[in-house]
Amino acid sequence: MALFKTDCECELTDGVLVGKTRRGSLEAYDQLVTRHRRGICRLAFGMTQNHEAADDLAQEAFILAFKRIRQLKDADRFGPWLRKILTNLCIRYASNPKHASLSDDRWDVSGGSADAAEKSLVRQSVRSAIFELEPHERATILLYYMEGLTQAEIADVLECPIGTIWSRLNSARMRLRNRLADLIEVP
Amino acid sequence: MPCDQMKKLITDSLRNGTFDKAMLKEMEEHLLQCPECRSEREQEDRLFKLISENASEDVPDERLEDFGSRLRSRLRASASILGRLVPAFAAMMSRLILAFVPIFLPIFLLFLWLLVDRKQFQAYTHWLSYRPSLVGILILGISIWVVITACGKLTDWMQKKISSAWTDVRKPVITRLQVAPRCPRDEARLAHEIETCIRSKRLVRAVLWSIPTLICIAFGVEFSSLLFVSDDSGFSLVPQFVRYALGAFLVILSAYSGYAITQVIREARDDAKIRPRDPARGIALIRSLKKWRLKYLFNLFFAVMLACSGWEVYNSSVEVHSSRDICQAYQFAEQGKSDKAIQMLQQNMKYYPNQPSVLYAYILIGDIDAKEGRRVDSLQVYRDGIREYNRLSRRHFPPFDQNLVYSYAVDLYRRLGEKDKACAIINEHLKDSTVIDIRPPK
Repeated sequence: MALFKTDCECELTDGVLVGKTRRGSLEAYDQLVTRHRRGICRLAFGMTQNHEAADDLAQEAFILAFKRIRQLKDADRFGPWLRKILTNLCIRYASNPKHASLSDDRWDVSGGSADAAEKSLVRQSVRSAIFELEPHERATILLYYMEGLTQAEIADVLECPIGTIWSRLNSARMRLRNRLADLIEVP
Repeated sequence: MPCDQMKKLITDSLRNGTFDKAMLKEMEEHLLQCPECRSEREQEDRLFKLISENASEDVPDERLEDFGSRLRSRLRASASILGRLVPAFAAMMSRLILAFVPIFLPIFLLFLWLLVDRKQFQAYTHWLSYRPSLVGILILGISIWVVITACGKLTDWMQKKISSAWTDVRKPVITRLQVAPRCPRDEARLAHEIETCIRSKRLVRAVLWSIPTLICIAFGVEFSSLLFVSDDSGFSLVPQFVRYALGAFLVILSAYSGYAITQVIREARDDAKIRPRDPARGIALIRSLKKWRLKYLFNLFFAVMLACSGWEVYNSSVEVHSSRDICQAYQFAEQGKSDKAIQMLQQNMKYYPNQPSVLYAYILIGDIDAKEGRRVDSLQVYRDGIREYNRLSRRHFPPFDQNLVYSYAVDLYRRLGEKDKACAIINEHLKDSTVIDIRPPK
């Protein structure tokens, strides 16, 4: 019976769950959280490269979204709207000079085989390169490459013209290519 | 296809469905012919793969569970009590409160106008001093509900129009700045314009919330004390009940309105957190809002409001108890239990010295003394009653209670045999009041 109920609930769209949340159902919002938390935590970590900060920001984003869920015009676009909130929170966090440096203890350098060590080094290089970007550029790059949003969708999330996104994407890409030249260049 | 255009399109081509088939075919043909673009494409492929695979890491399930449980407890704590209990009511309340503006503003102004002229005020309010009938209350309730419902959309429209007015005015500037290629100075100006719009919206909302709050506070006190003045018997339950219910409703309404003000401030703070542009401006807005000390000011208002309501309730209960004691003493006197009746009346005089019924207590004690043959004592009691009347006549009573004071004084003078003074009171009263003709029957 419980399994049946869970299956039914899983079929509910974001729009339906948003509607229920607006009517005061915390359970519906809980389902929305369960559905989006993985992606949100992943994006938050990509932006901050810090587990604790990512956790806090993701929670903050979910709470803000819950408080302001009545302001969401298109209930079916809860996911993008949530990413919008999170991205802006992350940009605000990253703009703080206190959070501008990336300390080594944040990295999980795993031992073991040579292959694993190499992968770990690649990961470190990529993350370090991304972290060196300006917060807006970092957000643009992550939304574009990691979240798979189009330039128009990124413009919507970051609330700026599409031309700005295009220029940010290009400049960030150039910097990443220079920084990761060893890993990217085709022999 | 030239190489420049091809390079621009390479990144987007990695996304499925971005281009149509013809465009993709053209791109494929170009890539086959141009090694430079092919290398560019391969580099872009590798960059895409590197970032998508390494930029972040997957979160373990245990960590996600922990995240979920912590978030759940925080959400429960952040959800408002009212919103959790009755979400539909909470959603409706904002509309109801806003509806108070068009409904009660004219009435409030009318009261202000009446307060200027005391005589006119009394002439107006004497109609309200009668107990309203159940049908009257029903009609009043239905009318208020109809007006509120009708005004709901109007106030929504008002809020929307007023709050977006500034945005509309500045829209062309913003659009121009957004479309045009911008230098950093323009960027700053654009951010400033957008923030100004948000700021004006917030301020308008705060003002819209504050108006009904102020009206509720001012009107709630007047309304509850004037509309349902209790009668002298004090045994009628309906007006008292309605009065308490109305008072409580207005207190809750005012409290909720103040809560809404704090919500506006909180929302503005949240906005500052999630604004992508120049969050410092949002923070400055919060600081300026804090400067107003709206929250603390409204807390003070609520305290005053509660104190006033408490005073009203205390007064009305005093009226009820004193009247009830007098009636019971009258019953004791009728049953021949004179000592008990006199004891009760003396207690009544002691505990409720400022009620009109105290004069009736003097009349009753004097009557009991006269009935038992203590003529001198009874005349002394009547004289004491007249002294009390002189003291009470300096106080202000609602019209119905004022009538009682006059009629008790007339009774006292008549019992003392001073008919001239009784007639003087009647004449004076007839000049001032139109409530009840207290002339004795011929």
